[in-house]
Amino acid sequence: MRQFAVIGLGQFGSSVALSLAEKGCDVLAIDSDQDRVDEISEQVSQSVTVDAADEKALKSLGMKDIDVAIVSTGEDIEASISIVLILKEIGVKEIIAKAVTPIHGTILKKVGADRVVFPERDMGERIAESLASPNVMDYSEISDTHSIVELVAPKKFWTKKISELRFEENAMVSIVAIKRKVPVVTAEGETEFREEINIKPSPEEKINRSDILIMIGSFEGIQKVRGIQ
Amino acid sequence: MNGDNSQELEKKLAQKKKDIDTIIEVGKFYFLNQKFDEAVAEYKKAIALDSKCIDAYYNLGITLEAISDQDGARDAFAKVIALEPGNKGALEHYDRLVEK
Repeated sequence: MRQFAVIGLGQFGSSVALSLAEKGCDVLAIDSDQDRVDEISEQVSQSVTVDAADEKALKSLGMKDIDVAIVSTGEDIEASISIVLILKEIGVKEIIAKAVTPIHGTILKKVGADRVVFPERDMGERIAESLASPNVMDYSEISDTHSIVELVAPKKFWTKKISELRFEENAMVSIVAIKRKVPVVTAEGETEFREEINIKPSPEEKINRSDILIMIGSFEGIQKVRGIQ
Repeated sequence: MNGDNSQELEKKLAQKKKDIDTIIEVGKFYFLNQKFDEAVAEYKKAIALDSKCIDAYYNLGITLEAISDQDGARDAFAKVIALEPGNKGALEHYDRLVEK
């Protein structure tokens, strides 16, 4: 099993550490703040209170066996750069670092981070997307040109088959899945709904009023589909 | 005479309750047949007759959530919680919608 180390247990770091632990991964959680370490210690395999920017201290943890280290001390730019450098020197196989600005990201890559993430920026983009178009349930850029979006099925699509929509060839967008809320009656006799996901729906699939379409496509294509009412 | 009046009032109230229950049942029928807009109209009709009808707000919330009207659903469940603070179902739906 892959071994993870999460350095910096702020909101992002602790959320990553807990999610990995929930998935059954071995997680070593590190922070210089004892309270933060205490908060998470029971849920992860191992936790240590140490200043990770201190080269000696970090090396003493014997992190050679760690497969992936997540450096989430983004706000302390100097510390995150030092930690990436030390981890690289130790020989950690993969280093993922959180950055707060594009320049910070560039530096982290230059000093050895294999991947740089911008959680605040990404979350900001997602929130802006959903605020700008309330029918967008979720949005994520998967490259510089393409994104994946969860969109409430526009009225124009209701009762139509996917093959009848004819937007795919025009907009270079594909429906990769449909989330559908299906009405049910509970054991108590109450009405409720159950969410079903249809991965790779057939062209004959009809779009329902309660559908959420998961689509992948170019920014322009997605933009076109979002404009459809 | 007073007794007659109160009996008459009770009868009327019972009839009103019956009418509301019928409207909600019609709403449920529409919901189960995926006629979501019609279901919403029925639940709103019930609410117009009784602005404290927990059942109508709850079912309205379920229907609006099913058609991804997040704000509307949140408001409906908030109304249920205001009328019945311990309503577990409404609390679960409300929390889920707030997290989105």
